[in-house]
Amino acid sequence: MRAGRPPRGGRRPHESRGRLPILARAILRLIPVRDRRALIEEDLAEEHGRTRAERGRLAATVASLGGAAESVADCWLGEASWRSIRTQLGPRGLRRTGLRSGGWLGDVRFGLRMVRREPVVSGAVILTVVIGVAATSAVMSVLLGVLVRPLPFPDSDRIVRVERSDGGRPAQYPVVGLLDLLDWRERGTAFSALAAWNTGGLTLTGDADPERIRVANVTAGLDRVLGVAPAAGRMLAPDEFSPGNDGVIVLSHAFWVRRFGADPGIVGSSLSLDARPYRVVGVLQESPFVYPEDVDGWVPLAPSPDSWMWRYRGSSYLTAVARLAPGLTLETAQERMSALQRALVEEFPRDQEGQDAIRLERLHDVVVAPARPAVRLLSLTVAIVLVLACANVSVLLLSRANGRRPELAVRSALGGNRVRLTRLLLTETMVLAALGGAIGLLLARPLVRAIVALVPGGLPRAAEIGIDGWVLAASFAAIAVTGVAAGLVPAVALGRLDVGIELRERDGGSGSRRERLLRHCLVGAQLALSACLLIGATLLGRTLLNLRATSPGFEPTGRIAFRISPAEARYPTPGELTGFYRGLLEGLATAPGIRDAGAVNFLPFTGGEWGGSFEVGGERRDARIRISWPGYYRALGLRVLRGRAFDWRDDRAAPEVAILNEAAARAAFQGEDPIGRTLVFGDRPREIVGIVADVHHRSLAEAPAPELHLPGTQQLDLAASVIVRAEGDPAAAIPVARDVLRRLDPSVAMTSVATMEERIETSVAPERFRAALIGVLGALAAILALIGVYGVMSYTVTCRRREIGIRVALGASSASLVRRVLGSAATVSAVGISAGVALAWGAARWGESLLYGVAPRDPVAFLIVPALLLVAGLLAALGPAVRATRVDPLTTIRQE
Amino acid sequence: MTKHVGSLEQLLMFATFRLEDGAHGLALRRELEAATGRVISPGAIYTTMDRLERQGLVSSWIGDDRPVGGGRRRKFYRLEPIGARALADSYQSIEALAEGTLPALTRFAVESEGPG
Repeated sequence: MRAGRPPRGGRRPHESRGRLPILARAILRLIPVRDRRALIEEDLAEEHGRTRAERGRLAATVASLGGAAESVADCWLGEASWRSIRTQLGPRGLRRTGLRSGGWLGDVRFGLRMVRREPVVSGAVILTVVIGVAATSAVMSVLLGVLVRPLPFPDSDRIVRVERSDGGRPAQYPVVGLLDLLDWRERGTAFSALAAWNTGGLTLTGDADPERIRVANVTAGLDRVLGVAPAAGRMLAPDEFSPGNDGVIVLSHAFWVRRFGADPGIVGSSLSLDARPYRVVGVLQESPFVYPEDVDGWVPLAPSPDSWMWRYRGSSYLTAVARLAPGLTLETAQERMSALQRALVEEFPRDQEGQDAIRLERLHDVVVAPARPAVRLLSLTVAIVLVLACANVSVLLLSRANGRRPELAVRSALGGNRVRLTRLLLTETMVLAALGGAIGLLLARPLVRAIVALVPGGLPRAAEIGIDGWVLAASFAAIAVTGVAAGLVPAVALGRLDVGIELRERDGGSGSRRERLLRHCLVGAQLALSACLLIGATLLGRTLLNLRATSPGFEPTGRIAFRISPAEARYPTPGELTGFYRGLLEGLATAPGIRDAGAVNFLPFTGGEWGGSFEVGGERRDARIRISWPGYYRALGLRVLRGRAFDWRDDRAAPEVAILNEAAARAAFQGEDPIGRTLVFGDRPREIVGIVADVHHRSLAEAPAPELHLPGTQQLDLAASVIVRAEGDPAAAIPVARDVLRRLDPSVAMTSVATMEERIETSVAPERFRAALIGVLGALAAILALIGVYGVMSYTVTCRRREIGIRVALGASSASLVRRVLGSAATVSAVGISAGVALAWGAARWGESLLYGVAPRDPVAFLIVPALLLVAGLLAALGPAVRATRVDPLTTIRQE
Repeated sequence: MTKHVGSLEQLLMFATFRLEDGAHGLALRRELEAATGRVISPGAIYTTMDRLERQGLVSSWIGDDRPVGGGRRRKFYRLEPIGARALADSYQSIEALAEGTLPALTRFAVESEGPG
């Protein structure tokens, strides 16, 4: 090119040209690069003017709209990557895009730039959002999966449980009897299908090791109530619900897969259950939630004509479920059933009073009821975490934004209006929230797994908990709420910028008194809450430690136990059963690696209980009844305090004997020696031959109950828990025990295998859950609160830069500056923490029932936690304090 | 109607060169329209010119379209030496391939279209 460059043109008002239609201008807003958009707009406007002069308004408008749309498309197609746009804009262009021109993209890039420029504050904000979002999405997924999502059955909200009720409330055991059920089915009009079930155990024998399986004994129609279909074969047929035809089973999908490797050939084959042949007629469809829960199969409930089920109307033993008739509401169905039941009670007077009313409850509510308190607690804690997170992000952003007040004031003076500024700050917050949210979502899945694992007793429908679209939506909502709520505060604060003041004073001070108070209150409240929670967590943690340190009354180390349930058909007489147990226990005790073996009907920390009573001197004493076999005390490590243990000579020919535990002996004999005395159990006198130590049976926190022990050799009970004391690793004793059992009776399955230590640990699961939940929550609250302290102190230091500069100029030492900042942090922390301590002190009595072995106002918790928190608060303020010492008086003053 | 062939970049560089100091966006657009009969959106023009500029083939400045003042502020483009070389190279390769083919091409096109 031959000519030199023309001189750069000055900015002059443009000559008037045709104005582009507003729609065309709107379309052009889609072009991200402002400079290019301006050029294009001007070109199109010029063309527009010319076309309008030549061909009229309509033609010009059409041409302009087309040109605008085409330009947008060409700009985007021509710049396929964001990178190229950023390259074009350059750093200055980016900043300008952010402040002066429109375009959310520019705001986002601006936000990202700010993240890099102030990594500590940004990191703190992101960490806060991570905590908030991870907690929210994890708990949301639990909440949705367990409580909200309908059960996976067709029209599942029409499935109800029909239960006996006691004055409107469900009865303690909400079960019904077969006779009532049949009358409801015959005369009722409330349901389109009605069925009932109970569960039982059967021992599966065959090629592999015998296995104890759990089956549902179902009446006809359960598949119609639930709307389930077979995955293979068929469901139970109507004629199979009669004695003799009932040797059929429908396998659960999970059991089919686990035991038979999903082999479709199993349908039609025969299984031996409790030594009786059952034909497999079908397999249930796969479902994340099966009902009845935890069963391996369905077998027909087919009581023989002389069964007690046909005789007593008062007895209840079945769980009834029904599907509401089409068009009927729950209330109408309830009315109809209540009326029908009143008529039945009149017609067939009951053997027992009360609990004759009928109550319908949605199956969904029944299933999730046990989880409600835990899930509510989780949701509440998460709400608190989210509020704390929002408060924190606000404080942090306020501190950061405040440092930029003069800069922003200048920019606003140069044309950035208030809406624009607010939008910019909001977008910045959203960028941070989005970054934190993305990381939080990644953490949500492991968190869900942790929650599911931690909830004592497991959550119902745990298989259905997952991160799905709803959870994602909820999490995004949480992110958006966090971003907007947290971004709005600084935006509003800065929206009030007065350019004159900002430029004149440079240093805005640290806001008005009211603003400062508000910020300090925010941080103080966070500290208060975290102090309160951490004190609670300490108390619960000490409770857990105390429980673990409590002796269960026996020696759990090296002991492992399992349950067996020999078939009655094989051991019909007491002599035969005793023979089996003697063979088993003596075989175990002499097996390699096993020192002692014993058995009892209800083992401590294993669940199950038999409550009864005995009489001494005409006075009745309540006691838990234990049926123990010789060797049990030694195997469990339970001390025999006086007298002797049972042995094989205490058979049915020998005098009947009994053993009491300390608590029972104390209650019945008040210090007298019970050995040799007589008690009456079940109308028969028994001689007391020994006293054993007390044991905790269900939980370490519960005081040992009085127990009456009877010898298995004299009191028939088929099933028992067998406990062995191993020489080394207790798990290694199991194959040995299995071998002994198989040689003795290959049809007996070994179930519920667990060491005594594991059983005790399981019993403290609720305490562990509470301690972990409150502890984690307290830790999160503390992290958030410390981030808050950091944010407020940073804010203060930024705002008071000028004041600090003057102090430095007047000779203030670094130490005195650090002291000033830390002193301020200490004041806020001390006030907040004191409030938390007061709160915990007041609430302590309320939580007393949750504690064990620790006073609700435990001095350790109430002194150490606040002290540590105060130290942590000062550490959090250390960064800003050190920054204060780096303030250069010359720089600050030059900035004036 | 004849189909337009050739890349937009080459066409724009030729137009930039021909327009000398008057090569601003709208002028380029009109030049292309006059030469090819094709209307190109301003978006495509500026995007392509920016790309050429990033490659160092053209340079640009903001200026007034009337030297005496009172005109419109525009973005002007100028072909850089490296751009001129690139354009010359590509033109030569086209010319080498195209040499002597025009009569045959025209004949082929006319015959293929036929009377119908």
